[in-house]
Amino acid sequence: MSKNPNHPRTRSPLAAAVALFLFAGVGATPALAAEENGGTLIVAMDAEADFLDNQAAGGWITWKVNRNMFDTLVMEDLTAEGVDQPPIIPGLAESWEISDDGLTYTFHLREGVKFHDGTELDAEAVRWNIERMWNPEAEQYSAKAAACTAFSWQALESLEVVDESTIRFHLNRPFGEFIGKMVDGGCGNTSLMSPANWEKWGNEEIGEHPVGTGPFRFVERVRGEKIVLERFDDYWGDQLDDPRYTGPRIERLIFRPMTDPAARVAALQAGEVDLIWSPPPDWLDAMERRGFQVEQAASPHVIYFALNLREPCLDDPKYRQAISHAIDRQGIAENLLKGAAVPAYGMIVPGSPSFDADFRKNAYDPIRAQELLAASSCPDGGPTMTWLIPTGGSGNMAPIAISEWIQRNLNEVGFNVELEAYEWQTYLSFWWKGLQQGQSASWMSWGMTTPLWVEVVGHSKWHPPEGTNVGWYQSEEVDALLDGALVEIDDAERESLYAEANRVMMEDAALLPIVHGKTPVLLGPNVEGYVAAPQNWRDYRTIELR
Amino acid sequence: MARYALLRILAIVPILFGVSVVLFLFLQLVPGDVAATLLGPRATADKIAEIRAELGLDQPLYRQYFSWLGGFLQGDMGRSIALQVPVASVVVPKFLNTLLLAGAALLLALAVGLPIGILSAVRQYSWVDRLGTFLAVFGSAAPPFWLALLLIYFFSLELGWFPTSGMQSLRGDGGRLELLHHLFLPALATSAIPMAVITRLTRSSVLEVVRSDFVVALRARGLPSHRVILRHTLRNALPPVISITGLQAGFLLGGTVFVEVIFSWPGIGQQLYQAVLAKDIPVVQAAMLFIALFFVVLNLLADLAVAYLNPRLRAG
Repeated sequence: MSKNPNHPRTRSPLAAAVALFLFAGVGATPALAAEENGGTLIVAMDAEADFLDNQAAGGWITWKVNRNMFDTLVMEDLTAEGVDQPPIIPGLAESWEISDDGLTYTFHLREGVKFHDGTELDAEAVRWNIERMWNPEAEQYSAKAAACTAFSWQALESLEVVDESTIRFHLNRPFGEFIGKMVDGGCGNTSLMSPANWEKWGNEEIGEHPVGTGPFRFVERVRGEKIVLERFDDYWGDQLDDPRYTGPRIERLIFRPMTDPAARVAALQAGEVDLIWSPPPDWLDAMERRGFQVEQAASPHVIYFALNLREPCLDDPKYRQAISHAIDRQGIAENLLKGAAVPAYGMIVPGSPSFDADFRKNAYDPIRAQELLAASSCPDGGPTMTWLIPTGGSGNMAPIAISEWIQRNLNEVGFNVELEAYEWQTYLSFWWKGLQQGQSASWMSWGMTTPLWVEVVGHSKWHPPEGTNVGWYQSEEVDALLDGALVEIDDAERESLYAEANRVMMEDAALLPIVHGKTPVLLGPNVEGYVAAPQNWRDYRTIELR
Repeated sequence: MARYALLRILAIVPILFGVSVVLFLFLQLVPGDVAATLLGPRATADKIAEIRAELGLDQPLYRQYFSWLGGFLQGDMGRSIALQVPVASVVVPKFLNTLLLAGAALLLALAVGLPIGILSAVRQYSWVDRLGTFLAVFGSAAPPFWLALLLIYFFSLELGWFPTSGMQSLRGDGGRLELLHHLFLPALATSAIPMAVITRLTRSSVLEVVRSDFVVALRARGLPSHRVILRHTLRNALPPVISITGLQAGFLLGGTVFVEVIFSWPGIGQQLYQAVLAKDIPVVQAAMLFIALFFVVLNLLADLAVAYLNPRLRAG
C-alpha cells in the first residue's frame, strides 16, 4: 500500500465536507511514490476491456491496451511530438511498394522479428493472419474479426507469399486509403498475432492469451482488477538504432479498470495509480494547481449530430444552416468542457491528413441563424424537433450537458428542440438503424485518422442498414467526390478530394460537427516522457518514472 | 422440525426455476441486438446475421432457454457473449468477492447494531439510545455512494489510513492483511443500511419484550438484570431480528453495486450491471441465479433459526 507522505491535514470537518462537495476530493497534494514504483506504470482505465483478441476486440478501450502488445505491418508513430498528425512509418514491414495501377501492394518484412512465444514472424504468418480476418474458408477465420476489419479488406482480391519475407496483396480496384486504414484501431485492428499460439487456444480462448510482437508482453489478467503487461526483452524495435522504435523504459505496465471518475482521481492523489484516463474536465485546473500533470491534444474524434433529411423543414438546407449557425461551439469547448475539446466545423478530424484547422463553415452567428431561419421553408421555427442522445458511454464526453447547451442555443434563435436520452447500448441499438420518422437528429462520438471517415458518414451507399449515414444524406456531388477519392492513389490528390467532399457536406449542413475531444489524461508528478499524440490512443514506450 | 426444514428446502427448486424463466423473458425485452452491439457501428447487416447464427441467437426463444438450462444443470453456465470466456470464470470469482464484502459488512452491522440496539432499549432515552437513534437515522438516510466518497476523503486522502480502491495494492505483495486493509472502508460503507435496520429493530423488539408480563415477573423474582436480558428477553426478542438480518444479507449481495463502483471492488454487482448493458444474457442469468440462490438459502437459514427459537412456528 502506498501512502501519501505530503498530506495536508484537514482544517475542520466542516471545511472538509464542503471541500468534498465542491471539489470532490481535489484537496490533496500529489503522492511522491518514486522509490515504490520499481518501474511499474499503473494506468486507471475508465472501463473494463472486453477481450484481448487484437483483431476482433470491440472498441477503443480494448485497443488502448492491445496496441502495446501487437504491431501492424505499417504503424503510426505516436512518439513524435508537436505534430499535427501521427507520421505513418514502417512497422513489421520495413518497406513496401505500390504498383503504378494501385492494384498490388508488396510488403518486405523485417528480419528477426519474434512473437512473445519465441516463434518468428514470416510472410506465411502474415498470410495466416490476414486470412483470419478475411477468408471464410480458412480454419482460423473469425467472423467477428472479419466484421471489425471489413473496411480494410474491401478491395482485397488475393494474397501471395512471394518468399519468406515478402508478401503481396492483390486488390480488385485501387484503394487509396489501404495503408491509412491498416493503421486504424478501434473495433478490430489489422495487427498480427502468433499463429502458433492460436493453434493452442483457438478462436474461443485466444482473447485470454494474447501473443503478438509488440513492445510489451502479456503477463496476467484478473477481470475487474488488472491487466498486467511487462517489457518484452526480444522486442524487434530494440535491435534498431532508431528512437522511434526503442522499447519501453518501464518494466511493467498495469491497467486497472475504475469506472467512477471520482475514484480515479482519488486513486491518483493517493499514489495508487500513476495515470488516469478521462478525468472529469472540471477538475483539470484544480489538479494541475496541485502539481499533477494534464496532457491532451486534439484527437481524431468528433462529437456530431446527424440531421434527419427525410423530416419536414430539415430537408431545407437553409433551415439546417440556421441550426448550425445557432450553435456556440466555442462556448461548449471552452466553458462547458474547460478546454478539453476544440470547436469542430467539419467532419474531418484532427490527426487526419485532410484536416484543415482553419476550415470554418456555418460557425456561431445567431443573427445570421435568425435570417436564414426567416428565409427557410419553416420561418416560424418549424415543429418541435426530437434530438436523440445517449446518457454516457464509451468515448462520450458529457452528452447531456452538451446537448442541453445546444438546445438552449437553438431555442433562443426560434427553434423548438426536445431531447430524448437513452442508455448507451440501447441508444446504439437503434442509432444504426438510421433516423426514423419523428426523430430529428442523433448524437455520435467517433472518428478515424484516415479521411475515409468522411465516406463512412456521408456517402449515400452507406445508408442504413448497410452503413452509418444515419441521417440519409444524399448528394451526387459528394458521392462522386468520395468515389473518386476511394480509388485515387495519389496522396495529395486524394486528400484534396476528401477535403472537398467535406466542404460540400458542411455547406449542405447535413451533419453538425460540435467539438473535437482532446483525450485528456492526468499524470502523477513522477511520470515523465508522456507524448500526447494526435490519436485516440497513446504510446507508453517513452514513459519514464522518476 | 425436520419436515418443516425439508418442505422449505424443496420449495427452493420452483422458486429458482421461476426466477430463471422470468429473468430470461425480461432480458428479451431489453432493447438492442447483442450481435450489433458486439460488432460496433461499422458492422454490416450480413456480418450481424453471421454473428447471430454463431451465437445461436437465431434460434427460437424456448430452444435458447432450454439449451441454457440443460447446460446449467450439468454445471456448464455457457459462454459470455460480450467477453468471450466461460461464464463461470467471470461470475464465480466476482460473486466470491461480493460475498466477502457483503459478509464483512453484515458482521460489522451485527457487531455494532445488536449491542447498540439492546443498550438503547434497556437504557431508553439515555445518551446511548440517542446515539443509536442518530446512527440508525444517518445510516438509513445516507446514500451508500455518498458515504463511500466521504470515507475515501477522510480516511484515505486526508488521513492516509486506508487505500481508496481495489482489493489489493498493485504494488504490494498481495497478502491477507492487505486484503483486510482494502476491505475495511467498502465494508463500512456497505454496512450502513443493515446496521441502521438491525439497530432499530433490535431496539423496538427488545423494548416490546422488556415490557411484557413474564419479564416483569422474572424481575420480581429477583433475577439479576443481565440474566433477564441476555437469557430471557433476547431469546424472545431475536426472531424478528434474525428474519430481517436474513433479508438484509440477501439485499447486500445485489445491493453493493454503488460501493463496488466507487471503491473499484471487482464484485458481482458491477459485473451484473455491465452484463445487463451489454445484453450478455448468459452472464446476467448466472449472476442473478447465484444471487437468488443465496438470497433463498440465507432466508431459509434465518427461518430455520427462528423456528428453532420459536416452537410455535414448527407445528405448521
